[in-house]
Amino acid sequence: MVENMSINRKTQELKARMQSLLQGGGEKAMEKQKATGKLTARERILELLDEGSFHEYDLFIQHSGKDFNMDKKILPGDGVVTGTGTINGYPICIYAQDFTVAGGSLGYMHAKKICKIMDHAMKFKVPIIGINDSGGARIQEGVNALAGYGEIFFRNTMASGVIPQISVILGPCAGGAVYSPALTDFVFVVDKISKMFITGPDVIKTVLGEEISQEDLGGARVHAEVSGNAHFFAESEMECFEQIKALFTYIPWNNTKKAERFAMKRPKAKDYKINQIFPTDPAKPYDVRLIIKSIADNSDFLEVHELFAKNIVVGFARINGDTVGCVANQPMEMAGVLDCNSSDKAARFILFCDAFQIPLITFEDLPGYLPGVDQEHAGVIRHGAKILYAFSEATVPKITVILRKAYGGGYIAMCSNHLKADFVFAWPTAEIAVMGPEGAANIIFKAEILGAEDPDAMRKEKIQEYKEKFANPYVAASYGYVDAVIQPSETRKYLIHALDMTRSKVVENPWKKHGIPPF
Amino acid sequence: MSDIKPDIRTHYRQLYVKVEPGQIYAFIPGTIIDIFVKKGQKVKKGDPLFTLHAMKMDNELCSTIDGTIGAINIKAGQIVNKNDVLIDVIPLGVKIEKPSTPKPAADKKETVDKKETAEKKETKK
Repeated sequence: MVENMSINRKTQELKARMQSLLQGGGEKAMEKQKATGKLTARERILELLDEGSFHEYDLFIQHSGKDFNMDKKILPGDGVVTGTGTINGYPICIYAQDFTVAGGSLGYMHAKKICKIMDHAMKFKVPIIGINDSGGARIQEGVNALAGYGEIFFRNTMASGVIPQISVILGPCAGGAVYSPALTDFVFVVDKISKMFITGPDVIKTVLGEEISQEDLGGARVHAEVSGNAHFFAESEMECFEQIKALFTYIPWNNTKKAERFAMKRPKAKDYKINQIFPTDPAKPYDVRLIIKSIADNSDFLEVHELFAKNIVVGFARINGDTVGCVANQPMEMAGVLDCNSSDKAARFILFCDAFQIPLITFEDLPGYLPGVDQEHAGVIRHGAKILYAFSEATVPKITVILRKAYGGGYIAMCSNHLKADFVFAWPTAEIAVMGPEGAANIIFKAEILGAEDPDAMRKEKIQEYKEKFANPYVAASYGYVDAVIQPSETRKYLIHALDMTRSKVVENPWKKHGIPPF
Repeated sequence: MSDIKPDIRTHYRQLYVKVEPGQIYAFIPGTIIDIFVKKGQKVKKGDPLFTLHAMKMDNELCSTIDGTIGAINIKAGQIVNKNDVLIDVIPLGVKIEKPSTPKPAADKKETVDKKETAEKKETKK
């Protein structure tokens, strides 16, 4: 009897202690957070995870600041909520910074909590999700705050390619804090809520005299469209959580597992007819995403980096139940050229797929690399090299479908036979050649054209001659660079078979500590 | 012309210029094939405005915003330069004040520091 009473009392005490800590920064701070359209840290976790799956740890952590009267302050949970739970039944580790507690600022113990949950994720080989909402380093803790960031960056780097790392920016993320998301695999932002920058508008004004708003400097749209730092853009926090849940259906828990296999669903043939989507005239643009949807299970396609470098499309789909990573030139946008940004975007996606055993399917239709002084000076050589490097290094199944144009360096870069694609299929509309007929005819038949009585007529004739001879898939096929010329309607059938054939593919790259990719 | 040597930093650093959301640029030099819209016409985001032949493609350039067609600085058959503003779509709710003249985007920059303006003009085309 006496013992029971004592347990009850202890339980009551625990409840009371937890109660005060779970309030975060208190009611007023919570209201302020909500007034800006934001959820609180715990609400976010509960919305994102499967119902009842969240288990919180380190609630009783206390901050270690001693100077500037910090020792007299109590910061519940030290401004960050950490724990484990599940998404679609997947186990994951998660942390969410709590802006209501000292502005979510990162002190030593705050960082220690994050590091601990990251270490768990690495030990258990499960994905880590970080929800960022923080004013930055806790200045009062000085170099200890910096140490905290450093420890997190180190762990991000070590975890890279081992477990999927997701960053969700739901508030400010400024200064050193931005580099943790930058090191992770997918960054999610929400319109009007996310703000990321190294130096804020105030510093920019003081140092450079330029005036700019937070939104224009580092708002969600800027990072989704211009800088490419963000991979997914949402209008609201709830939409953002739905995007994360969708992503988790496509990717595996860690690099030793394959993505979960789903029941096969046929593409929605009625809505996506290749005949109607695809113009055979090589000068007519179309939306390559519709081609992907016409082939993918249930016509589902989850696009990554949807708003950035739109001249290349990357994203996840399923074919016959298996997750595949799609890389496709987008003729609708800048004629589908490869440039600095699109090469960078594609290369990074390829690296992710290769690291996590996701087969790569390339849909090719591009005129080549984008010419121009600004591209050359921006380093299109070194950025363009990234896509060559990434495709060459990838050992996952690599299947390429050449839809239409495959010219010059672009042909090589888009996972050609020479970069060790397992299968290269070409539609009969494919044009695989060293350069476009116009350019090629002008070089090869220069003497004939200049020497002719009517050079223009001769030029036209020679262009036509070149077109008929080389702007087709059969020259490349005659050398074995194309494995099969297929009808567009057979594409899915060929892809399913190729995926089945390559299921237990083993390719060992030469031993190395690591390569030196053209960063 | 200023006799102060241009600072190498200002030479390389470009001032931030807010991009007008409705301005449609040439992403690459090319030839205008066809124009689908008229001045004063209402357009929705994603509506095709004109075709620009470049990079072996009749690129369809679409409106980036909902709005009204302001200036049309092109005609069919015209050869355009990179970054030329080809069509100006005025966002809904903004009054059309004056017919804007064709101006390359690079010249529309407002500089904060007057001293820099002179130098900047030399470095930009």
